[in-house]
Amino acid sequence: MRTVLRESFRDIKRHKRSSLLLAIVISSASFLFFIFSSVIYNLGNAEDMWSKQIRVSVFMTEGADPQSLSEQIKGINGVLEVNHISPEQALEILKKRFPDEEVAFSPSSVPGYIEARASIDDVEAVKSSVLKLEGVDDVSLSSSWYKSLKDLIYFSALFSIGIMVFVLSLSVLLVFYAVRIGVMERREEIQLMRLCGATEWRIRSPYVASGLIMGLFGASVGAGLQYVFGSLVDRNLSQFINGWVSLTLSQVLFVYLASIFIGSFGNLMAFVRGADAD
Amino acid sequence: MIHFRSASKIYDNDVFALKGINTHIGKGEFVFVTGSSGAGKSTLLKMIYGGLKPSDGSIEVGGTPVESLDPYKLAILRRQMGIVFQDFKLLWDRTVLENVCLPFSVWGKLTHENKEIAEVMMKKFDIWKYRNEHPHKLSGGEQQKAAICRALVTSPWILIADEPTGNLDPDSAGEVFRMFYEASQKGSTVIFATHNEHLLSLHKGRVIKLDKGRLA
Ligand SMILES: Nc1ncnc2c1ncn2[C@@H]1O[C@H](COP(=O)(O)OP(=O)(O)OP(=O)(O)O)[C@@H](O)[C@H]1O
Ligand SMILES: [Mg+2]
Repeated sequence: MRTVLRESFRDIKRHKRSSLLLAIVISSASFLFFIFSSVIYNLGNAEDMWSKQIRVSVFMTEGADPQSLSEQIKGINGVLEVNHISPEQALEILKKRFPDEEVAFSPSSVPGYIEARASIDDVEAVKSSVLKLEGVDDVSLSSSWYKSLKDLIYFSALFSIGIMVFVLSLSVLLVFYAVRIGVMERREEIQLMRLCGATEWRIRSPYVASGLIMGLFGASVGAGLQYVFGSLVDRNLSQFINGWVSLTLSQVLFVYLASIFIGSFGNLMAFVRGADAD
Repeated sequence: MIHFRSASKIYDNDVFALKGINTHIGKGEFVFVTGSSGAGKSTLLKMIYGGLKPSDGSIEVGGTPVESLDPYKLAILRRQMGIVFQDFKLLWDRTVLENVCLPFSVWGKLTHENKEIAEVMMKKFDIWKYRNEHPHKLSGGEQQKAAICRALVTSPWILIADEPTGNLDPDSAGEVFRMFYEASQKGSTVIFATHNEHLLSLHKGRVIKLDKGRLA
């Protein structure tokens, strides 16, 4: 075991340039992995969060009592939160939304309304219950907005997975070719080792071990980069995406496994196909 | 010990290098293999260590046909052999000492004692002074000595030497012959391919003479 490790370190040292290239490839691959799995993970989180935040805007008939109506709505199954938006508050919201609008909104021209929140699963039932209440004029939902968001998230996740698969195959391929070139370069040495009585395991294990070392190294660099990147995102994005998570344990485990796979599998493959001819 | 049973070798380009070789080399025997260039000496030797498979027939070493051994068993068998290749096969990116110790490091037995054995051997051949140099700094004869040391350090049961004195002065050649002969006295089987008439005249034992791939 010690010889295997020593050999593989010597192997890395002796082929500095290709080793560096491999390290960069695996590091970038694992960094990309981290980024895209983060994206998937956080989009999933955001989607989950937003699905519980579907807005149900209840517009009242003239003379209805917002207070008692709010109480009634609160009692409906599936309603998570109820707020009464007074005409003044409604005006503020409008002003914020259209800051450049020259038109002066007057409080009398903007009606107040009740804003409830429900999860996507309950929102239709809530709507029909609310419509049955006395003093309700109309109900509008923000679920269509949510649906397009969901589609967007779905496609982003699909895209991210595609990129991850692409990155994985590309890096296995790169490792494969780098090692293959190394094996070709050292074909005579490998042949001589065989002639001196080296077992296949003895010949291959340093390659596989150096692949593992590269993989671990690459994953660590990738994780480090992602940690830095993640804290930057945290600092600048946390207002928009609440609870953005940049590194989870399972993600780290996954990327380590993937890197080990890239390192050793690329190596092994190159070996099997590279040095069999005597 | 080593049994050739109607062994033939045809290379890919239809060259008949060996034709129906039948012979036996006993344990502790010292045999010369001789014959003109292209007679098939190297081909014969390569088949003993499984570097080439016979196109026909079989070569048995210690009772098992070499050509049908799986890679692991072949590796183990080769650990009983010391081989001096006609083209030396030294590794240019390693020091002379590392080259000589290659069998040990390949077996995972690069111990202090084994390095001392290598030191004694290299001193005998007067190349210890080059231990930290790379082979390209050595003369042809010195490189050949390094290749011989690598074959001898492991005290193998079977010594296969392909033209091991081709680059040596007569004195060194005589010394190499003497060392291989001593090994055979201690029980090793030695197969020694050479053109060297002087060495052939020194030896009273068996000479396998090849002529165009046949035993002459
Ligand atoms: N790899 C090969 N492919 C094709 N033909 C080969 C190969 N190796 C050797 N030969 C041919 O086989 C014949 C025997 O070659 P071999 O190397 O065994 O001769 P040799 O007796 O060792 O000669 P020398 O004294 O020059 O070393 C020669 O005619 C040679 O051209
Ligand atoms: Mg020859």
